[in-house]
Amino acid sequence: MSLITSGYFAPVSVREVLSLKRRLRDKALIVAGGTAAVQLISKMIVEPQAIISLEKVPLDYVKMRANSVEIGATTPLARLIHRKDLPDALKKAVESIHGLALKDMATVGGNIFTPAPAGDIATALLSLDAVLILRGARGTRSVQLSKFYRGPLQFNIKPDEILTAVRVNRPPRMSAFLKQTPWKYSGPTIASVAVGLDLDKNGKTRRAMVALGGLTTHPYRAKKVEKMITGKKLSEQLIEGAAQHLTDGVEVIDDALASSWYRMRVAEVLFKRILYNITAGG
Amino acid sequence: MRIRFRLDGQSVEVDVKHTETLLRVLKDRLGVGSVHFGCGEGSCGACIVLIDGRPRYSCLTLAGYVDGKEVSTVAALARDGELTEIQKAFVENNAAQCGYCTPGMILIVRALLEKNPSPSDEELFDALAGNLCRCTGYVPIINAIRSVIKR
Amino acid sequence: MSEQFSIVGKPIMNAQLLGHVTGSTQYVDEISFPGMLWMKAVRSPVPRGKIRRIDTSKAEKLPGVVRIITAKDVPNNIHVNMAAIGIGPPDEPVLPEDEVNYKGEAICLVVAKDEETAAKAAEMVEVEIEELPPVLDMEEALKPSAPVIKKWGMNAFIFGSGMDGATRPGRPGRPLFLVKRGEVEIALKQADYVVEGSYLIPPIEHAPIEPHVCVAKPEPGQRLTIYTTTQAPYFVRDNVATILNIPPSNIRVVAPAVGGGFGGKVDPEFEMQVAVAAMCVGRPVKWRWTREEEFTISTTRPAVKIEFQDALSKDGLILGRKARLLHDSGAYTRTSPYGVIKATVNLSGPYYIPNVHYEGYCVYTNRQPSSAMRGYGVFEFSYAVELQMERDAKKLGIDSWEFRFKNAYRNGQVSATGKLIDDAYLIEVMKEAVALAGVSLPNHLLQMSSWG
Repeated sequence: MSLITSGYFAPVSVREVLSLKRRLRDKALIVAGGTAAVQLISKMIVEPQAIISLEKVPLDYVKMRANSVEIGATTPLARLIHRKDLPDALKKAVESIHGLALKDMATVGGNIFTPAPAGDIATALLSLDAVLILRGARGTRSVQLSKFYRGPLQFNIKPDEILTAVRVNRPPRMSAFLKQTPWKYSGPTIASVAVGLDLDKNGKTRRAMVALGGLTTHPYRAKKVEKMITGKKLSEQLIEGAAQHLTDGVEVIDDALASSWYRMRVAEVLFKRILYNITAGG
Repeated sequence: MRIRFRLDGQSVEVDVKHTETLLRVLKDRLGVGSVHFGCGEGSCGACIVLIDGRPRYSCLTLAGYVDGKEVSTVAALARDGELTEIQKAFVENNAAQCGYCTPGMILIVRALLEKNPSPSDEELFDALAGNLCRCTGYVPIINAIRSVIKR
Repeated sequence: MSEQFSIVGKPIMNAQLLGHVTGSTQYVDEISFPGMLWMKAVRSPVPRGKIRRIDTSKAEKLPGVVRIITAKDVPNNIHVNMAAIGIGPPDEPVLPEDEVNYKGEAICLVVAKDEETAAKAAEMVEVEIEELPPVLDMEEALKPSAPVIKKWGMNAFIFGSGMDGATRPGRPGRPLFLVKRGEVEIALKQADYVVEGSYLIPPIEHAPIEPHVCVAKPEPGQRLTIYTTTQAPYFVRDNVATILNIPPSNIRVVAPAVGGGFGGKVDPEFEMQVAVAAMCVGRPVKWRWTREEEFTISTTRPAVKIEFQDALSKDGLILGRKARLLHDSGAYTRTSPYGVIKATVNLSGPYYIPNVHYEGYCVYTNRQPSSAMRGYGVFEFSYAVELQMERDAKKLGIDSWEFRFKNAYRNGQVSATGKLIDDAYLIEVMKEAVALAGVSLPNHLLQMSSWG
């Protein structure tokens, strides 16, 4: 490989991506679908000397195993529509992103990094307790998505690593995703809620994952709510009470799209709607 | 860097910067008139082109991406002056007013119907969600598309 | 009847449709010339301030930068874009000389070999601004304590002083447009009910899918051809001629297909800058606004506040109406006085009100200038009038259809502005509308007519 350090690179393997990354370091911008990254360039937020495009890296796949789902990082959302074998929360999150061109371009991996008011796929994956597969010079490691976000646009990823896949091990038996946008069909996320649940024989919650998107730069898990509903039957009183703690300890975005008050109320409604749907057997 | 691609069936070679978008290359360098700048962030759909048959926002596509690929615009749809079915339907239903969104609309419908010749209304609205029209209120556009959907 | 006509009653195709569906319709953005340069603006980061220093030295050194244009380069900087119909005084600079009056106002212009270089250089221009307290709210702007942003000493347009072009100059005038008929105070006293209502309309962006684009091309002999996204080529020609100090006949304005305007492309709000730049560098110059500029710089529908006090009689008639209308013109005059007059004279809506007192204020604030948008002035007042009608009917405890039928103009009545009504059809239109909407109305309403 030549020693050129600027230009447009379209490597054909993960290995090649890693070696380019090592060579170009922060001079390069990685572009997957382009829906977020290219805007950074055209709005002059970044001025990369080089582009590493992932368009030819074979990470466009969905692998279904007995008790796990693995999706390659550059899989476009369009590949996931009409797939009945995906967990409901993920299916619904994909459906909630409208527009044929956008679905054809945006990738699952890119969505993990895209801040609010986008990032709905990440919210759904959080409720499924997904794991990210990262590959670096020293090999592969996996990080729980819930431990991936360290702050606004700060991620648990090393400079020499790339995200190659997301994996959901032991998907919960029930999952759901709801989101609110300012208008029907497309539009930025005001709030999104995804819930993954396992109930035991007596209808008590065995495992609960509650994820909220659109409220902060990156989605988060409402741990206190999860604790409150775990080991208990989902009564009206429990649901109403838990809904009051969805944003505990969180500073909710307050901007032109929606006030923080409104975002919080919407999140509460969506959360309750999901749980009431589940208790009604829906 | 030099890229080579096919534009509406013709071979094109052009020098581009690695950070240049396809929209800029098509409009400002190659003088393609039917691809329009509207928002620069993939919201309006005025810049949509088909790349190897798949719809993409050219404002969010780097020029390097099309190297070796086939780019199609609405200009190449009509053959020997004969409009395609969907173009005829837009004319018959008065589905364009200022016309700025029309090429993107027609291309997205083409991409949709290629995969799914008889989409439901829900599927149609979902596909069109990334194409904005400020003039028509969408009704004549939807009527035009419905008239070519095989049900 | 339609057989007698060749056009009326027959569908005709939009002449541009074939171009639209084949992508061959020409818009301004695809117009370019050999040797053409590109432009970007350095914009104010604050809504109001004094310009202390503009340092272009770093930007000028960027390879590819051809020229940086400031107020000094404009032959006749201060203008008002409705001068053609006599509205004044000129209060808007092509480029500000010492102060900025809204966030995003263009302070200087960078002309460069391509768009990217112009944008980069614009970021390198250093502007030092002493921020001043802005006035952003219309009610605040009218208070004596408000910072005054207009040279004539108040934040309102002065009607009747010659500034509006309709009256002779030299009179004192007043900072409001007044419509008065009958004795509204007596009506309010004698009324069985007085119903108050206050209505707010926010500024609304036209959001055409095609952002503003303009190319100005100098021609031999102090002539200029301007290709622009405009709904009003003659406004462009007159204003460019004024600020360049050349005869309008030296300027040719070409208006190709417009990718949506909705009133947002009526104001010549950027052609003047492109024209100045092209004249300065002697080469074609293109300026293409971003979507962000489209939203934050281009005109919007004005924010409007309308307050009503309606005097009603028990038998369901409107005896009188007192109204106050505030219209946010933003930082400069543009077309706003015209919009205020249009809205204020119509505050009765299509209803007969014998006693009225309407005050319309054209208020200046440190916001982006507002201007025309679909039904300029009309949308604002009809929204408020019809909501007030609902509120009145509710107070009277009668159906709002009944209330509208009773108060609709009859032919032979005289309007608030003194016009003899001889073309009233509201009752007939409402009858058609209820039939289409499937609403059934009592017979005594259906028997009403605009002629009795």
